[in-house]
Amino acid sequence: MDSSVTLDRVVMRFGDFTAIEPTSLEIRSGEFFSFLGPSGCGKTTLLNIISGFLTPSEGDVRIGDASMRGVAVNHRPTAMIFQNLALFPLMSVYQNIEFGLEVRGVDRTTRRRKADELLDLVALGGSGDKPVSALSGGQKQRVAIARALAVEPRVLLLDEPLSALDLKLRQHMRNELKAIQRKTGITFIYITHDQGEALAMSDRVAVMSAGRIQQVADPETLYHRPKTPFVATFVGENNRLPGRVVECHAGLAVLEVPGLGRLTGRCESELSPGQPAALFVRPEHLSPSSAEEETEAPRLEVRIETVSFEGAWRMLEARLVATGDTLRILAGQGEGSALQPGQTASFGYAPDKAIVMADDGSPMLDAETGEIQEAATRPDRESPHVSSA
Amino acid sequence: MSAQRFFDWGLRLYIGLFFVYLFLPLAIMAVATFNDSRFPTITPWNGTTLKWFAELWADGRMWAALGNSLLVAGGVLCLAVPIGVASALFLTTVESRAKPFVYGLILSPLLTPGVIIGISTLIFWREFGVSGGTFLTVLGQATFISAYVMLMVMARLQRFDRTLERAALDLGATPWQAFRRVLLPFLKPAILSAAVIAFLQSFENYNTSLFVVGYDTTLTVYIASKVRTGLTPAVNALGLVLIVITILIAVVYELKRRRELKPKGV
Repeated sequence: MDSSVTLDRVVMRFGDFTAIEPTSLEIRSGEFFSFLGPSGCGKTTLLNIISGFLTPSEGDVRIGDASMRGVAVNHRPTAMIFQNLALFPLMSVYQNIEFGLEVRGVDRTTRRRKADELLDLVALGGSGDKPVSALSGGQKQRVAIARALAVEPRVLLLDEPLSALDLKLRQHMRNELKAIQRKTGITFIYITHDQGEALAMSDRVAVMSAGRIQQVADPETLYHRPKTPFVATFVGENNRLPGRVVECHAGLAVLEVPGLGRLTGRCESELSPGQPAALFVRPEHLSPSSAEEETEAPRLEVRIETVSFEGAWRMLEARLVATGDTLRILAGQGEGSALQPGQTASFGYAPDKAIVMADDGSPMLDAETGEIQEAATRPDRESPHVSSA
Repeated sequence: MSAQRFFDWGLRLYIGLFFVYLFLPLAIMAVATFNDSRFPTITPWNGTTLKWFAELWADGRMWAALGNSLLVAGGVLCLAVPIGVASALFLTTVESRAKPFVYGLILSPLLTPGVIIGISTLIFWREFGVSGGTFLTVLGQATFISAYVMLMVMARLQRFDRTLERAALDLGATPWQAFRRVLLPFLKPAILSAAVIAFLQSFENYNTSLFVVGYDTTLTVYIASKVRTGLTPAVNALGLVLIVITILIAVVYELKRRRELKPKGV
């Protein structure tokens, strides 16, 4: 059965506020698809539009070939797993799972057989008679999944269901969700602000910001070939070095960065000389460079500020000697692991690992505070040394 | 240490005095039932008797009034509980600019003296040719008892997790099924206690009822009228019967609750 979900120029407005800018998207049948974005980016609104709790101001949602216009929540072939799970507290595990079947008039024996099957699927066999209050967090999670699957939805909507669990359990449930998705073949639409979750589970991810989809791609592409500065900073960590384009050809761009000179990186789209742009280089792509190496390679002189030991690696927080901007560097076990706060060092990167993107004025993640910054409040947009370049 | 002891004893003394204050009148009333005196008193003690129970039994008007009180209380339940629950649902669920108005409208009878509710009910319905009686008593009492029900149900509704309702709809339930299977079971304890309060409020009501009972006297109004015509310990006998019934109900309820609290099937 075709369980694809199509958003056709969907727009959502609340009064003067546009929560969802015109959005078109096709989620393939049987796909594990995630919407990833910071809180307030509109991802929950989109989920509510798909499930039918909200009616879009414009546009249409199709599931398979059927338009969902005018189809009420209780008649849509979707089931939702809520952030707080929303298990019925006064009912037993069986009653919770059978609820969707009961309201459809399915008889008792069929209901019970189905519930037992699902309890086995989520590895909770034999717990049917327990009250839900007697379950642990992970078990409640499984009951919520079983309850949603009981109505045989074509599309399962998951609203950050793992956020309340502790780290170990969360990682375990990730695998389990993925396994259940593979076994059932149902289209999963998953909402999260946790990029680790989105990248680990999804076939494809849509990164959202301010009511707009920034990029839709598989996790690898998203990480290695971000299309916008927002994606580059929101998915994984990234160092951002703003400057102006000097030249751009054959997929390589040269950027004049105030205080640092000319830096080279890949460019995916055409950039014209003089255009404000930024170079993005990930912490793991920065490696110590020694003075004897050829002068062609970009080199960044830094003073190490803090070293945090994370087990398998160290995260160095450093300041560029020339500009005072922060640079985050991931040091493995060997090279760079001896560096101490206060030391100066020189780091380089392979130009094909860095990306140059036009400064599109979209909001992005601030590396120091971890907060989303709107373009207007970003200090570097009008900083004097950029304009003097 | 000694300050602590002083405090403990002080607390015990206070609790003791409190219970004496609470129960001594009831005890005197109960004891007076058995006094062979024309007035409800324990001094002088003229000898022990059970004749006031016999007199109570023989007082047809008293039983008629009791029956009428129960009828009114039942009627008030049927009117005030649906109105109270509905307004609580309206005020917590529906987004409407009428909200403050409805809230004020339902609560205003609580802030109005019962006498005025009684008089205005009587005057209003006389315009339509309806005079005092059981019907008007039910209406008069229900106006302010609805407010009690609404407040109690609202308190519980505010703790209801609305996503449960959304979950029910999402799983295919109709709005009515979601209400009946999810919201109503959650509200049940509040509705039941509101019903009990409503019943008691109606049963003990005097000041509103006084104006609207007409010839269908309720128990409170009847007892009050007897004060004028001469109160006998038969009234005490009635009080004692009601107290015993109340205690019995409370004991049965408590036993049932304790049995339900015990872990099942182990």
